Amino acid sequence: MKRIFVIALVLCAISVASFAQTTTANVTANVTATLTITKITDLNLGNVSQGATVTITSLTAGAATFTIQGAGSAGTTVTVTNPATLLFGAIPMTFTAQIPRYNTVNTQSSSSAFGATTGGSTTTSVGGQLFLWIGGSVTAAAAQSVGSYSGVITVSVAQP
Amino acid sequence: MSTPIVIRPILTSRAECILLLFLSLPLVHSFAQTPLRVATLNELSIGTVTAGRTLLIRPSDAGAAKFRIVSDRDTTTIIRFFLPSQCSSLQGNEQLRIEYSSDGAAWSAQDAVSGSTLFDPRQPLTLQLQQNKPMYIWVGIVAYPHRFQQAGRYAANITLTVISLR
Repeated sequence: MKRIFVIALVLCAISVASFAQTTTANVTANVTATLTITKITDLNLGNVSQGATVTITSLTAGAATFTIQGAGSAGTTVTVTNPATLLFGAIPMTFTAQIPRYNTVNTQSSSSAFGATTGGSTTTSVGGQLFLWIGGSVTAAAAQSVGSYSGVITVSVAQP
Repeated sequence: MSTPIVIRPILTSRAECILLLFLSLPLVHSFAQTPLRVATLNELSIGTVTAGRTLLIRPSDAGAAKFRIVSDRDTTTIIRFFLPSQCSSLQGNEQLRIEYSSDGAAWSAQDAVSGSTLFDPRQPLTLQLQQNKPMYIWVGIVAYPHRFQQAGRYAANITLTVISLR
């Protein structure tokens, strides 16, 4: 009889033992590389005579240059906002935008043009780099006031 | 020289057999049913995170993991998570650091995270379950991609174990 109580005790212990159930949840994340744009040089149109036009194309020295660092081999949209005029105080001088150019290597001569002066879309290098060149043109009126004129070109960049 | 082998029956009487049968009924009963049902209702989606920027998913956020626990009887349960400290890239060559905060999880007897009770998913939690009344649990996360974190998709698994003490 003692034996049966031992067995019964074990069975009771098992029957009151805990139950455990398990489930899992997937954790997922999509990491995108940091996207940065850095201006390297400004667009410097130099001296302009009254009644003359000076043009720095995006393919020539003197164009503004930018570097972009983002996700590698990623679609990238570049948006350029050009000023309509440069200003000397409140005095305007007409500014004409040039179509910006881009390259995945830092070589202006082999760069490609976007489709519009406002930029366009392209793909970064495997390392995530993109180089931009932006030119411009100014036309001084015959009676253009002498002075130093300036404006701002704004470039924004986005990756999906 | 030989030794005789004696086999003695464990149960020596009919009465013992009947007694044992009755005592083992709870055991039979417990094996016949699954008293706990634990289900994953939502996976934990960190979404898109930019390298170098910390991203917090609160238990109340849509991306939080969600679980449901149901017991077929009133019971005391212990909730325990296995929480990985990193997600692996699908290529397996890069790790994304993840952590859990002291208020990174929540539980509620209602299927609504609003009004739920926050708790630390890193610590075991004792919950009282009522018969056939679901208990819901949400778990958030903090992702720490470093500045040069390789872009791409990362994944890991959270494991929830619920122990019923009956």
